[in-house]
Formats: sequence, C-alpha cells, structure tokens
Amino acid sequence: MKADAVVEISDLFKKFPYTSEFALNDLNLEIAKGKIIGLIGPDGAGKTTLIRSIIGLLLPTSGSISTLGLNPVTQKSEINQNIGYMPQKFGLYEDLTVIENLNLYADLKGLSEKDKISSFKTLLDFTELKEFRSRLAGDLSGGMKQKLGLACALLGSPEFLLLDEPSVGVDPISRRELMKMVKKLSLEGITILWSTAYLDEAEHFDTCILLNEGKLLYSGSPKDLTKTLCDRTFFVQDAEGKNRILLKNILKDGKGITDAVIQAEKVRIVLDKGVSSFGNLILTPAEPRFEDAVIDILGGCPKGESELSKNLIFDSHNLEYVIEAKALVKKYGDFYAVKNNTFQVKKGEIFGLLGPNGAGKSTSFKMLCGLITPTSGSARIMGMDIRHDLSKARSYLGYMAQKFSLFGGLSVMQNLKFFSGIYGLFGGEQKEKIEQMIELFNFETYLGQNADELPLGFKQRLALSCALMHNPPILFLDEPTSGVDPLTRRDFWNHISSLVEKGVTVMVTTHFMDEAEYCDRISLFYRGEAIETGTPIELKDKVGKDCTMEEAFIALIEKFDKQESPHNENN
Amino acid sequence: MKIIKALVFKEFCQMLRDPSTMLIAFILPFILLCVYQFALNLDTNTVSIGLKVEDNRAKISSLAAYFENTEYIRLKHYQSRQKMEKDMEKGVIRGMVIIPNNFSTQIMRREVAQIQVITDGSETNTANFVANYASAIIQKWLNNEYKYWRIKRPAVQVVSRFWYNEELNSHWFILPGALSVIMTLVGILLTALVISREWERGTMESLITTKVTKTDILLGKYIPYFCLGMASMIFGVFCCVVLFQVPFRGSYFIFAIVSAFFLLSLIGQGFLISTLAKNQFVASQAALIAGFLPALMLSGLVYPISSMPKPIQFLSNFISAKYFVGCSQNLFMAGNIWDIFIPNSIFMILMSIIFYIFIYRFTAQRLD
Repeated sequence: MKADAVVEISDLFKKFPYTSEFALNDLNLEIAKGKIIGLIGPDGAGKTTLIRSIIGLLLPTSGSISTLGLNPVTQKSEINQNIGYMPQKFGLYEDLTVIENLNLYADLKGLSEKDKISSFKTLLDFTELKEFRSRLAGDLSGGMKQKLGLACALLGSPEFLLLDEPSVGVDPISRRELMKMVKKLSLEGITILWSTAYLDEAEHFDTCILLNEGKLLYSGSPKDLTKTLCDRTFFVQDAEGKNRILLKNILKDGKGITDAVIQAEKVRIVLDKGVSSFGNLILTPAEPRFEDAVIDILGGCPKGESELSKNLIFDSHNLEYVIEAKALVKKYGDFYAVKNNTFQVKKGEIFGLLGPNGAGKSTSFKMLCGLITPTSGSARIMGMDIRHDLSKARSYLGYMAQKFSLFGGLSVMQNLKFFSGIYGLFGGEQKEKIEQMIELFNFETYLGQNADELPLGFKQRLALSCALMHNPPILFLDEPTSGVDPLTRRDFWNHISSLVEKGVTVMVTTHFMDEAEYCDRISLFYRGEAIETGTPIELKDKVGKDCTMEEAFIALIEKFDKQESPHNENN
Repeated sequence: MKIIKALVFKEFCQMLRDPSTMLIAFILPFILLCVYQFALNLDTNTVSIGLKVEDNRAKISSLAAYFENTEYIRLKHYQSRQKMEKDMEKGVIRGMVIIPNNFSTQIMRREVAQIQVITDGSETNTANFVANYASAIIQKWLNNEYKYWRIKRPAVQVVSRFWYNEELNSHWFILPGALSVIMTLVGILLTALVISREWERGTMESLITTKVTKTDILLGKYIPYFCLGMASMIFGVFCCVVLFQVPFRGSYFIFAIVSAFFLLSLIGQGFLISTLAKNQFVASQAALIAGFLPALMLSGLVYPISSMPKPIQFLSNFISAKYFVGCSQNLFMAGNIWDIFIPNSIFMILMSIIFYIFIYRFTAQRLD
C-alpha cells in the first residue's frame, strides 16, 4: 500500500441480486490523501454504490478494497471511527433540532463532553448555523440541511470525508458555499470524496473519477483531461442568431463533429481529432471544458436529424400567446410555494423555468395544467381558462411528468396502447399512431420489455412519445433530463428543437443551468418567486459580459436577497 | 452506555413531537375500548318471543304469565300461527312458543306433554338464548305448579349460580380480553414503522457508519417503546377500571409484570416486521395482517380456541395475545391464579426471546 493513498481498489465488481448488469464493473483506482476528489457520473453510473462499498456498507461481489489501510469487509467498525459520511438526503433527523442532531451524532461517535462543546462551537461557526441551533432540521432550507449534514459528518475529526451528492436539491449559492468549506477542510489535510452528477462541478476538484454505467472512464486531474481537447473546441455563429437551426444543420451533417451544443448565444462545437474545419463555417477558438472531454470519451454526441418532426403533424393555430399565467399564487399553510407568478409564452417558443429544487417550478407547472388549484391568480392555455375549461385546456397539452411516470410493470407496447387509449385514440387511428411512434423512436427492439427495465434514455423517449400521442400544440416537460447522461440529454434536446420548429410550444423545467441556453426565454425561480424573466442573453447581460448561466443566476439571486434583506435573512 | 442513552433520548424526542405516536398510544385504545364497551354486547337481555296458547284450560294461563313475567323476554301473544310465522320471518320475534290444545289433557293423563319451541336459527346465539329461556321457564312453572296437576315433583332440580361474574355482565370479560387485542394493535403499529422509517429517510445509513453496534440500535429502540407501551397499557387499565367500572380483583403488580412480558413480545414482533420491511407502507400492512388480525381471531377472545380445528389451535400458540387474554381476564375477574400466570408468562418470554434473536439476526449493519 502506498503511503499517500486513502483508498485502493482493484478489480472491483459489484452486482445486485435480480439485476443483469454490473453496478460496478472492473474498477481499479486509487484515491490520494489530502485532496478533493470528485466522483462524477450521471445517475445510475454507480457513484453511490462505489461510496458505500468504500466504507463497507455494501460488500463487493469480487475484487478488493482497502480504505485507510483497512478492509471494509471485515473492519467496518474501525473504518467508521475515522470517516465522516454524509449520505444522500443528508441523514438528518428532521424532527430533532440542529443542536439535538449534533448532540446525537457526537454521542454516537463517542465524543467526550469537553470535545463536544469545543467542536460544536467550531462547527456552528463554520457552517453559520449558530442562530438556528434550536430549529428543527426539517424546517431548514436545503442549503442549511446540507451544512448541518456536513457538520454531523465532521464530528469526531475524521480524516476521510465522503459526501454523496451533496449538491442535489440545493441552490447554486449554497452549493458554492459548501464547496468553499470543503476546500478549507482539504487544507487541513482531510481527504474529501464528493460525488456529483453535474459535470460543471469538475473544475473544483483536484482529481476526478469519471464513472458511466459502472465503468471507470477516467481517473486523474480534470485539467489534464480537458487539455486533451486543446485546439478542438470552437464557437460558430449564425448571422441572424438562429442558433437552434444552425445546431440542427451541424448535427444533420455531423461529419468530423464530436459534440455540438448551444452555449452563450453561439454554437459550441468540438471537432474530431485531426479535423480542423467544418464546412464553410467561421470557427472561433473556444476554451475547452471538462464536459467536452467527457463527451469525447463517451464517443461523441448523437448525430443526425430528428425523425420526430418530419412525420408528426400538429394542430395549427394563430394565437400569439399560447400560455398565460397571471399572478399565480400557491400557498400551503403559511408557506408560499409560488408567489405572484406572471408570464406569457409565445407560440413556438421554448420557455424554461429554472431554479433549484423546491423553488416552486413544479408547483407552477402543475397549476398551469390544472393538477393543482392555484390559491389565487389565473392561467390560460390556448386562451382557455384552466379553472373553467379544464378538460378543453388539457386537451391541448402534452405533459411529461417528473421521473417520466410510466407504468413500470407494463411493456413498452402496453404503455403506448394505454396512453394512446386515454387520449381517445382507438381502432385504426390508434394502431397507426402507435406504429408511427415505434418507428420514430426506434422502439422496435424494446416492445416486449417492461418500462422499468428500459435504459433511462429510452424511458425518457417513451414518456415523450406518450405525451405526443394526441398531437398537442403545447408540450410541458417537467425535469425531462434529470438523471440522464449527457449524450441522451443532447439527443433529447435535438428532438425538442425539431418539435419547436414545427410550431409546438414547449415549457420546460430544469435545474441544469446549461440547458437554459436551449430556451428562448427563461424565468428564474428562487424561493417560490420568479425573480427574473427574459432571454438567456438578457439575463446574463444584467450581470456582466461573458458570464455563464450559473454565474448569472447566482448574481441575480444575491441581488434579490439584498433587496429582500435585512428583515428576511436566511429564509 | 452513552450511545444507548443518546439513542433513547433521540427516540423520546421524536415520539413526543410526533402527534401520530400519541394518537396510536392513547387515543386509539380509548376509542377501541369505547367500541367494545358500548357497541359490542354478548348478553341478549331481552328477546322477543311469540306465544300462542291453543289449550284454553284456565290454569294454562299461569304458564303464559311465567313467560310474561320474565325480564329477559318481551312476549307477544298471537292468535294465528301464520301471523306468528310471518313476524318471525320479518325478524319481529326471535322465537315462537306454541302450547298445543291437548297440553293440559296430556299432563292430566300422565302422558308426555309437549310444547313446541321454534327459534330463529339464523342467529345462533339468540336462538340458544330463546331455547334456554323457554325451557327454563317451563321448568320453573312445573316446579311451582306440580301440586295442582297432581304429578310428581321433578326428581332433580338444577340450581345454578355464576361465579366471578355474578351479574353475567359480558363486558367484565370482554374488556380485559379486548385490552389484549387492543394492545397488540397499539404495540405493533407503534413499532412496525420506526425502523423502516429510519431506512426510508436515510438516517439508518448515517447511524451505521458511526460507532453504533447492533445491540445499541436495538436497545435504543426497545427501551423507549417499551416505556410508551407500558404507559399505554396503564391508560387502558385505567379506562377499564375507572371509566367502565370493571372490577379488578388481582394484584396490579402481577398485572404489570405480565403486561411487561406481553409488551416485549409485541414490540419484538413489531420490530421484526419493521426490520424486514425497510419500507413504511409494507410495514404498516404487515402489522395489520400479521399482528392485529390473528390476535383478534386466534386469541380466544371472540372465538373459543377449543372449538377450532386442531391445526388452527396449534397456530394460536404463536399468538402472544392468546396468553395475555387468559392472564388479563383472570386478574380482573378471578384474582391471582399462579397456575395461569406462570405458564402463560413463560410462553410470552419465550416468544420475546425468539423475536429478539430474529431481529438481531436480521438487523443489518450493511446495506446488502
């Protein structure tokens, strides 16, 4: 064992009972001491399984792990004494107060009364939770829960800290603060393993471990990986600013292209190795990103034209504003889930609701399609008031719910049949429609398989096809890309863009900041309020030139908080 | 030790802050006891009986008077048999007594005189009452009137008295028995959710990455829920004795000890369900199906175990409520009978131990 390695893993395999795939597939890696290590990969890549295996919560199917020089299979309790672990959802007792949670974990980790007092003081200062000592953990905001979870994990001065998706469900500011704290800890010599599904967090890490489908794609410095893409990343621009069409045309051809996405009112392309030009487009060199490199490793983004738009015909109409929300409010008890939300969406627009979990995006969404009755305010879909003409208004909507809400126990074919049936299709029409969907989305090989067993990308496609059964002029997508790997996300956006060209109006929620670039206009959600609405460029311009969407978001939130404070701090 | 203390403290905090816990521990038993007290009644105090006297000898009317003067019978006279049968069909009367026209003649001739008693067999319990009441009344009439008929005094006279429950008040044995079924529900409902809740909320994952041992986790759960269960039991007994005036003849101390054994076995059963389920929904379903229903059916409270088929009798041995029903009914009505408490307690202790072993075995310190 090397002196500077905290974890050594060799030939690690892990397979869960009743599954056919390996959750961890032939992992060999080392985690060096005193660094911040990012464990990066989409949901289902095996991040949590790896973390749990390292601390002995899961037993490997084969292969060996050594954590802090100990064997997690046999020496779990020794390992426990030297690590701090924050599971997903933070592992807090929501019905205990902040200080009670700390007290409990301090006792469980065997701290003496003297140590307790001093470490509580340090940790409460460190996490700025001092004022909230006697608040129930369940009443804390996502960011504060995350800090408390970290504080509990830090009790007993562990030398190795494992954080499982600490940035999920947390607003970007808290995310940034947590990262700062973790950097401070790393200076004190603590090794930190931080798992995340956000590729853009990679820049913060000393080293990163990139996982996909249980396999190790890369392990090493994120900068080194990014460097391999030097001279391959460029921006191209459309004179009229029609980037979506430009992107579509680039992907349609696709030769010599590794990746193409919309970024900062331009199209960012990554050229294949050895290729130096693309058609007659003017290429402006761009700084390579970690995500570019990941796409490169994954074999490049999906190319070609979306078949979807070619064949589907949508009801045409001449309304200018197809979705209108006027002063929508939803109150649960004293809590405003959505405060005074007003906006209008034009025909053929992609309108994005952006914000951290719990900001009120989904609630707004559900009010617009009549799933939740607003406390006050009104909403119109295609000119129909959802309060009065609910079923008429709904008939114009295609709705794709969070987590796709398919019938997991039914096969793909049965799902298609069911959803076409509830949209009122039957007989020959139904059959034709289903056949069309099968062809468009390439379901052929999966028809008999249960929806639960589908790969995530196909689940997403199936959900989309079910939402499109009745040719709706409006499409509502609630977190359509969460938990989906970057390649599938690109494919999905390609489909959506082509639908919009056909005149479909799309409303979408997302917590991926970079996806905002695909939208024509976005509304920033924060604590139940839409704090800003505008095109991505407008929003960024409010903050300053050349900033990313996330930076713009943080700056706008901070500005908003300043206006709100001082009477309403931290909540 | 410190760890257990911390866990117990945590559990008490959670318990006191969770209104549903208090609801299950105190309100639920109260409501159920009220249901047993006021809604369930196994005594048929008055039954409606139809009487048709075809024999018109004057002295026979004294027999009718005997029927009339019984507080347990609401008598209705009929002239027509058809009418009486119609009323029986409608459920207006639960039985008919017909005194045939040759009744007195038969007695005078020293022949075997016959009275027809027809009962509504669709309600077995009531039917038995009717039949028993009718024959008891006739017997009484004969005992008093034999001289007039110049027949021999009946050779044997049955004098019955009811011990332990002199007034034959069925609540006196239902409530102490119901306590057993109710506590099964309360005990299992309270505990079936608490371990699965920790798994579901992800807190168990944090717990098992600290110094905590299996024993710590289990004692940290047993102690607070045992205390809560005992509090709930005391409350239940209080309701029975003070509110519903059920006499308590045994020793409260022994009752407490027997209850403790009973609760340990219940908590064990609840925790076992909770440990195996790892999901609150499954746990609560399992609690009802595996806990409450068998206790209700097989504890001997509602259906006598001795009249069940042998395999089911055997099954009832694994229901701890069965042991407690016996103890509780005896303590309330009969007093301290060691021959009942000791074997029943031994069974309950055995069950507690077996459950604990299973829970210990299945409590995971890992996730797979």
